[in-house]
Amino acid sequence: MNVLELAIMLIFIIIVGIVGFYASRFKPSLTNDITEWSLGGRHFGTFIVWFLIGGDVYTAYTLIAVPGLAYGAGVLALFATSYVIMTYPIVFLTMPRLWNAAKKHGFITAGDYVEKVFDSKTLALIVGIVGILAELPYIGLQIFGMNFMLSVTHVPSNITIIISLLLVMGFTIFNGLRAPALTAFIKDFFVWIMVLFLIIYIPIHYFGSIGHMFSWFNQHYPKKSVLSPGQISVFGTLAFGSAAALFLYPHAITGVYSSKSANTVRKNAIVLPIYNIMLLLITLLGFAALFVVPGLKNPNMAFPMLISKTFGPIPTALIGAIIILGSMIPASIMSIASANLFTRNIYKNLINPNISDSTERIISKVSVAVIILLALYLSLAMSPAFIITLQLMAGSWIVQLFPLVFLPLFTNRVSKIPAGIATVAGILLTTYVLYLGHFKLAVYKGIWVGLYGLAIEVVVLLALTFLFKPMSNISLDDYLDD
Amino acid sequence: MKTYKRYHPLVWVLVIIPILILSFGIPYYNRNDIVFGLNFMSFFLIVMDIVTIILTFIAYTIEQKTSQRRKK
Repeated sequence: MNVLELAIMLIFIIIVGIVGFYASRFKPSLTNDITEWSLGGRHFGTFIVWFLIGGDVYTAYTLIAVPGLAYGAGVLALFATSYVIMTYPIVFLTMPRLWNAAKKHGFITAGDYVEKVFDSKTLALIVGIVGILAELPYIGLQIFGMNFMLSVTHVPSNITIIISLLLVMGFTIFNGLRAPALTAFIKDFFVWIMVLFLIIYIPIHYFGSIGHMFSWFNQHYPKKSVLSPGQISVFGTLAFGSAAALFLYPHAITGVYSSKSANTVRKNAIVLPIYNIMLLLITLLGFAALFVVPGLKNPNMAFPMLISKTFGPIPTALIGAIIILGSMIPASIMSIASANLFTRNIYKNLINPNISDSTERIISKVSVAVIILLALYLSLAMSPAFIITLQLMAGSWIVQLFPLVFLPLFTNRVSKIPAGIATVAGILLTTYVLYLGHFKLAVYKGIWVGLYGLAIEVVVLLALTFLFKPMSNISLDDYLDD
Repeated sequence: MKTYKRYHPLVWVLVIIPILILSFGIPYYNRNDIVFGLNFMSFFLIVMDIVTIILTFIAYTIEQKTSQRRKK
């Protein structure tokens, strides 16, 4: 164990912890309302929401896994940039309408909206279960991200991870969404500096310029430098499907709900794509890693090994600390989003619908602890393959919530029974296609698995929708700005 | 079928353009020649990101004007 490396890590973790605990003074709550803890009182303006959503979408696992994919599969990894570019136009169309309905009816989760619009606790329950199943492995993947990075340092990884997650748990329980909102500033400040430095330094250091890096890459890895004909549909469907799915994840919706107005959401749909440049630049480091550390068996080690071999132990510890920050903030938001889903759409629906606001707050806070501990257990005790399979399944299920969350924003024709049947059919078909790929492949016959489910949903909706009466639980005016 | 047609049609067109180009234009931007120091696909994605920001901003402006007209 290297004391200096450990000290660097702990300084970063403790600073974030202190800021997280201090967050109660950040835009302090005016009431004791549940939205104060869950959504920061819906007070956040464009700047804060930009950091908050940026903080939970561009995570530590992204910083590790995307260069890893570039290392292993070449330019196919650029699907990640393509999908985040596509997602913000979808956000622009859908999320301001959802925000307006949420503000007018006091929704905290997507499940609340589904329950109201379809008058169905069962559909809300489906949203709650799928949402939590999607978030748990996502938090687990953040822990993997930390683990991969810490494995190239001389710092005891399990202790560092446990300390950082206990701090996350503490400040999240005490301060709710204000904590990740405030700490996201620190995380993104350092992540941006790190990425800009690395993308300038590494290509110049090893190749002379970024253009020479690509020349070398084209020459030595011609098959990785362009998509093969068979990869074109994989790239397109992965990108489109992931774009449709991203803002169905509970943590993304929590970020949107925390905005102070629908216009804040629209402005963020315009400016959030600035983060995509960072994502693209970090992807390119995977190509540099092919030169610096060729022949790695685990592509996820490409980024950590590149850093370790280029800079040596102390700078690696510094970058490792930034990666840990990149895990802590998303873990906080994801645990809040999951806790809200559990309390409002599972506990209230199945166990006790008549709980008070204060009881709801207590259950949500306990749920945060349970969710973080469960994710920690999953990622430390279970095999990485299990978490990745779970994430693969839940990631392709989450897009099946599309007819429940997105469609009612534009038409009142979609009603409870067709939407419910479509969603269940979509989840079942997606699971079957995953089974055909032995739960190991995100792509089946050149198409992202989630799109098979979406296709059956469209067929079911077209066949059944006109047999049922339109819904009228939320009026058109509720989706419009005041 | 009663659809809530509250977005200006141009808003729909503007925000769908990047999605269509990125989804269906892959055979055209799947190239590895080097442009401004980047391989073409990376360069194209940066351009599309900036184009998306601009198109969404125009859509936002149209939406604001439509919304003000609706209020009057």
